[in-house]
Amino acid sequence: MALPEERSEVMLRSMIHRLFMLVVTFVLFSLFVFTLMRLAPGDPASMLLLEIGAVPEQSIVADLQKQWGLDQSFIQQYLAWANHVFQGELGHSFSSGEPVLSEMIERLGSTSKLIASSFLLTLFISIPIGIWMGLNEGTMADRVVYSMTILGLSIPLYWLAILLMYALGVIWPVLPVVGSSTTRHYILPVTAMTLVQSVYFIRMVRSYTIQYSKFSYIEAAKARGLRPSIFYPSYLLRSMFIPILTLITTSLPSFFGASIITETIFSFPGFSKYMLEAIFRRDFPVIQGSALFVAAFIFVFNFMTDLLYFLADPRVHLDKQRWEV
Amino acid sequence: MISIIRANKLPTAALLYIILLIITGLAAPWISPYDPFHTNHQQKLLPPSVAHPFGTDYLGRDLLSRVIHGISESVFPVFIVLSVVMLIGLLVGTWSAFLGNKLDMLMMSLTDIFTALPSMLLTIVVVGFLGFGMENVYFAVILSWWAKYVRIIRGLIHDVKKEPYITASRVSGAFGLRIITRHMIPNIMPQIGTMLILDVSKVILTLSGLSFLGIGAQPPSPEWGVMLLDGKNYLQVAPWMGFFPGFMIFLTAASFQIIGERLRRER
Repeated sequence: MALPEERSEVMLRSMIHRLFMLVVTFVLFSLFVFTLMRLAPGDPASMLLLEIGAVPEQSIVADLQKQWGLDQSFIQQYLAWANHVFQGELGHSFSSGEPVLSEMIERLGSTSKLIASSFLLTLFISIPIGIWMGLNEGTMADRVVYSMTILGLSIPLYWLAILLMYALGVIWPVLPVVGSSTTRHYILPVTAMTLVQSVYFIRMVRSYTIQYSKFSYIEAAKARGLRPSIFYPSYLLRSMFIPILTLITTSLPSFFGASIITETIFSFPGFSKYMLEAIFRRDFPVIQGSALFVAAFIFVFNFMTDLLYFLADPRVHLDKQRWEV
Repeated sequence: MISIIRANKLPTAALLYIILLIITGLAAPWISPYDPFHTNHQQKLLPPSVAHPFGTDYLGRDLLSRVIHGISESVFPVFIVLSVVMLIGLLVGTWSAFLGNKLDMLMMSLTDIFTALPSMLLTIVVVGFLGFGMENVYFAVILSWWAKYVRIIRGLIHDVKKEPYITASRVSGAFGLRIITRHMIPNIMPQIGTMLILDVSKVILTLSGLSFLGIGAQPPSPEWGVMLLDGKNYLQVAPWMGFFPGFMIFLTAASFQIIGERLRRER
């Protein structure tokens, strides 16, 4: 057992290490984005000239390239670019001419509402069902629900969303299927996302429950006949906190992917749709800006959950691999 | 044999479906009732009937023929993508398991980055900068899947390394590469195989999803995701246009899932 001051020192050191890794990861990702941008077909100088309707003459192209620093080495170009990007200067959209940063912020609200509400709803639905299934492992009810989750994993979100749209928007038109102006507009997109994500969560929570119920202190607590109101929250859920936290962190990317599909189907004017549409317009500043933003968000989110691990389980050390199933 | 089938009715049915699907896909030019690209304006948006079991679309194309031709566009690429992913996983994963501590950690940090990022984000960046086209889409999907296989195969090799039969073969004079190819990889193949089958259904959903978003296969391809997108636009007048392609994606993904799940229970 480490002494309190030792523990905080270990914590501090590994925090610094994690922070360092966070920066390294982000720099690597920005390098990746920059490399792809340089690999993009077409030379930016001649492309701009073609866009404004001028003939890309050799001398003008060379001048522009010099002006933009395109004649410098790859590393120099990257450093100049990174210098801008890390200061939040993400440039202007090719198609609208507006600053990318403000366009992104404008659209973040509806997407974060969409993702947050389906995230919370998924947790509320799947944790109780998963625990109930895990505690009744092997019973008829568990087997039936479990087989349903096997099928559920295979339902494409885009098909489910279309079926929901058809059922509740065409056959029995009770809900709006396009846009995001009112709360009612969120019902169908959130339902579609929650249904698909819950299947995965339920299966994971079920397997954690099975695994954790075999621990001696959980069995002892059950044998002592603890009241459910004490047993569930303070024994079972508390010990499952770390795996569930891992589940939440690792599934954030899939919520982002799901939001792209959902926003496209329901013509939801959010951030994810904005990002997807940028690739059809070949709007490089938007692609670059939003990709860096999403990556930064996910890396920081992972870092924050790492902090939570420390608070939840003091045994988590620097050298220890993250809890994985 | 019969008792095995009787005990595994659903997995057997799934396997039969997949075999039938692959044969149908290979034989598509000969067995599909109509030309999948032939438009006929007298017969557009017809509901399912005897002549057109899945109905026709907004250009009068027969949907059943399109679904049949779509097999080679929606299902076969998945096998290619996953084979590449598995090959990378075997090479890099085994290599990483034998690397020194520092290099191994570097490799794992690299895979950490790729597993943390949404595959959709990688796809958008790759396709956004390098342009449309299936090869870029495959590249993007491989880019977001390789890390998982490297990690898992590295872990499996690590576990196998300590097994007594590896020590035994080493003692009996086998060396490096021979131990890896003859003893280690065959022993981890069952785990990798199960994982691959389960991942087939995920990659089917991913690839068709990308086509549905307009990133992957492009019209007039009969890829199921592309057909589903058409179906979405004609939801009010011709719901069958969206139902059948989506159902095929679901059925195919579910079959692989059922088989994979059954194999996993075996272990």
